[in-house]
Amino acid sequence: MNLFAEIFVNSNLVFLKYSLLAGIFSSFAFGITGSYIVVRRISYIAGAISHSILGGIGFALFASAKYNLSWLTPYSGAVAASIFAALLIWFAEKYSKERLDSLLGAVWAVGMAGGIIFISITPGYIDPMSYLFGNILMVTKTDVIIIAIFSFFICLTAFLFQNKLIATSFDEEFLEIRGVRTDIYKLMLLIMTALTIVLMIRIVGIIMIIAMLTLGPASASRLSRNFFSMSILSVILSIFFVLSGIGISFKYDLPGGPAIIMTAGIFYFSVLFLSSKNFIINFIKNLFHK
Amino acid sequence: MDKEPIIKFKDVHFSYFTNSSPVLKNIDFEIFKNEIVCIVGPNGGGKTTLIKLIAGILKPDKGKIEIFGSNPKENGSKLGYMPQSVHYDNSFPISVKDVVLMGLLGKKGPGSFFGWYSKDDKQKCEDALKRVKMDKFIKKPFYALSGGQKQRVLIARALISDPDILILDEPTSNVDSETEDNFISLLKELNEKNNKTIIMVSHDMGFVSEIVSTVFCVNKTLVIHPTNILSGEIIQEIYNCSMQMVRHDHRCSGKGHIK
Repeated sequence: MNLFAEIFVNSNLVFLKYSLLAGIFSSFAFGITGSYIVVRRISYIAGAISHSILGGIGFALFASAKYNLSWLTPYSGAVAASIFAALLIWFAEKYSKERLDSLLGAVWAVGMAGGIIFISITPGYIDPMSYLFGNILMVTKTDVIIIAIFSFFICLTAFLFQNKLIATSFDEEFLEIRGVRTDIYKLMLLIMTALTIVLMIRIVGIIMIIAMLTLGPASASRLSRNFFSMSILSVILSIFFVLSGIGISFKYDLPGGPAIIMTAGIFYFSVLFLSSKNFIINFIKNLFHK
Repeated sequence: MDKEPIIKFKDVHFSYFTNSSPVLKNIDFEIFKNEIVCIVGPNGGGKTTLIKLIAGILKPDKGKIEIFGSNPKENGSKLGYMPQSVHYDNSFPISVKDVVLMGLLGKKGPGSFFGWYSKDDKQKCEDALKRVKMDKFIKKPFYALSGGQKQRVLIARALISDPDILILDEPTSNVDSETEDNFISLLKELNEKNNKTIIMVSHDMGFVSEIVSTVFCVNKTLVIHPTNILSGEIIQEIYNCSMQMVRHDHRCSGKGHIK
């Protein structure tokens, strides 16, 4: 704990304090939205949205450098791109007969390609690596405030509409017969997913963000009996991954994002192993009996 | 039995895509209060489509559907629906209570925007579970129940809004015969004591003949068989319409019904 006390007190480590706070605040949204993503089995949708964000970031960087639009930050580009991708996926699923996985592949790759092209034609040098894999040195005080506000509203929406969101995830067909507009709640979940992803882009980056959305909730679902406890546990796990990941990265001078994801991954695989231990033991026993 | 039909289909046609061949055509029927109707037919014959038309999820291309004399879409709360059990995710973390309460969502009135449940709703949930003798399981996770228990919980969810019509899609798939017998007596009770009109889709003819008053045989078109004149010949006809049933039925010889 001394480590964390030092981070919060030492003014030379102010960037670490910001990324810790950003990580903790966004963990609330990650735990809750992630739980929906895991139970609905739509992590591939989250993957497509997160990768398409690079397109928005690239465009924002390019346009703000080229036309001197200082208000067009990479963050606003990311928000716009993620919401655009969520709407596109929702419309396509609802109205087009195109196979969803083909469309997601297209959103995924076109977003990345567009982002890299925009970054390459932007005047001056920009390292796309920090957007792809995250960089805890980039988190600012304004970012922390924006993240806290967004996270609060995502959690509030999830809380207010919890019954309808859970019911839509559990049994869409039944609710349609009851006259519930399930398409609206599906859109709500997609927008929540899009905004949640943006929150941790700075810390873990576009490529690995999907792990933050799924590993915590997937571990939590093996340890809980209802959705409420699953999402609470997911939030706690997400905070734990962020704290220990940043702690490890600081102590051993490792990149922050990958350290967080590694922690989450090791935890997930341990839970998976322990909860299927009996199965594995029996499997090995049977192997030797034959 | 009332004279006025509660469900009325008049020359209904339906296809999923424009210009594709129709899934259902020339569907004409009436269902009266307190009837128990069983819809049988081969896979892909249009059984589930017919149910979705009654429920108002799908709109007919041609023809007219009336439920209680009005458009199906306006009757959501008068219908209690139980989908096929196969479509549930067996690891979804949700309690029995939340599953049953879901049956109240979408009704008009206070709390319907956010979908929060009132104390009254929770009482209704307990009552519905009591009716299917599952009130002891109210706090259990849904995935931990057996097939027959899940089925009862899903019936409770269909009952909680106190509907006049119960629609059950393949209610006896995935349960053993004892559970099935219990289930039949539950349906009988709901029909006789609580005046529910019941429409179910089934593959199982043994089940059908016991309580059902009318059999709808759906295979693109519709043939209606009242069970009181269910002769060997008609059984044969129904069988021709659904080869699936021949294999599933354990009470019929090749000549007809033994019962």
